[in-house]
Amino acid sequence: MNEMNAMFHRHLVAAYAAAWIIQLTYLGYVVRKWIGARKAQQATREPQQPR
Amino acid sequence: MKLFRWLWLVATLAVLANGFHVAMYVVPADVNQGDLSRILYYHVPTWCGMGVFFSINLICSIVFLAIRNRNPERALKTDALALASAELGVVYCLVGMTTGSIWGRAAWGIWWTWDARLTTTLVLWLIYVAYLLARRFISGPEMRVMAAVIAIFGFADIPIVYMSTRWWRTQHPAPVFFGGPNTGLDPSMMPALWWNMAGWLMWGIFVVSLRYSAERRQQMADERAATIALEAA
Repeated sequence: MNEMNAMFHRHLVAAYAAAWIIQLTYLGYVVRKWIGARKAQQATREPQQPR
Repeated sequence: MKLFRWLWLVATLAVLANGFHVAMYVVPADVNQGDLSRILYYHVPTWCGMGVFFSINLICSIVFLAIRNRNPERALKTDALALASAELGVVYCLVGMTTGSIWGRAAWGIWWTWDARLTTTLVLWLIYVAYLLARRFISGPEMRVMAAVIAIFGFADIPIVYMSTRWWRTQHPAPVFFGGPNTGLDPSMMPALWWNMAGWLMWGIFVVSLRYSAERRQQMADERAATIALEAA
């Protein structure tokens, strides 16, 4: 079996691509949650006293 | 903490890149399956990751129930970690089922079969999706208690999934690891498995830490908003 052929095995490529797509989609969701939570925290922060 | 997190991400991506290289180009293909067997190097690590993160969810759920009245602040932290680890466990389970399904299509000619391993795994995934939906749609202070109870009962399916290929005759391949004599991977294939196992666990720790941080921020913002509303009333 030629080692270079592994990159052209369509089921193998599909499986690896699917794994990355699912993981990166979830990472995108987490980043959105993180940004949203940071904004919510800033919105409820006590206003700074003027000097 | 921020710097450490980014350094962790860089190290994780380096380990995953090396894992990919080793899986694709270094270790030999299986004698019977050829290159198709290389799916194993992503398939097995995701199941290990799922087991680790659902176990963290179980421990956090038990701790939450035990300390929620004595130490509410710490209980909220454990609840945030329970949520983060459950979400990632669901993601890993989905990756495992998807990569397994693609392998099944090539090896068996079908995407899915209702054998014991696949069915118990699907049930496990549905239980934890129900856990996440419960957290989203149950309102009020009892939501976290309900979720923790669901998590504890849901975890009971994990030993059944693990043992299913030992208890029943299944179409799923027999256990590769801890399956008794004449089982296991050839030692020449192990580096690909270890690198990807380490990489995907490191990836999981990174994503869970980010999700935990987001949930803690949200909890603090919600607490602060409730305090402001009380003061205004």
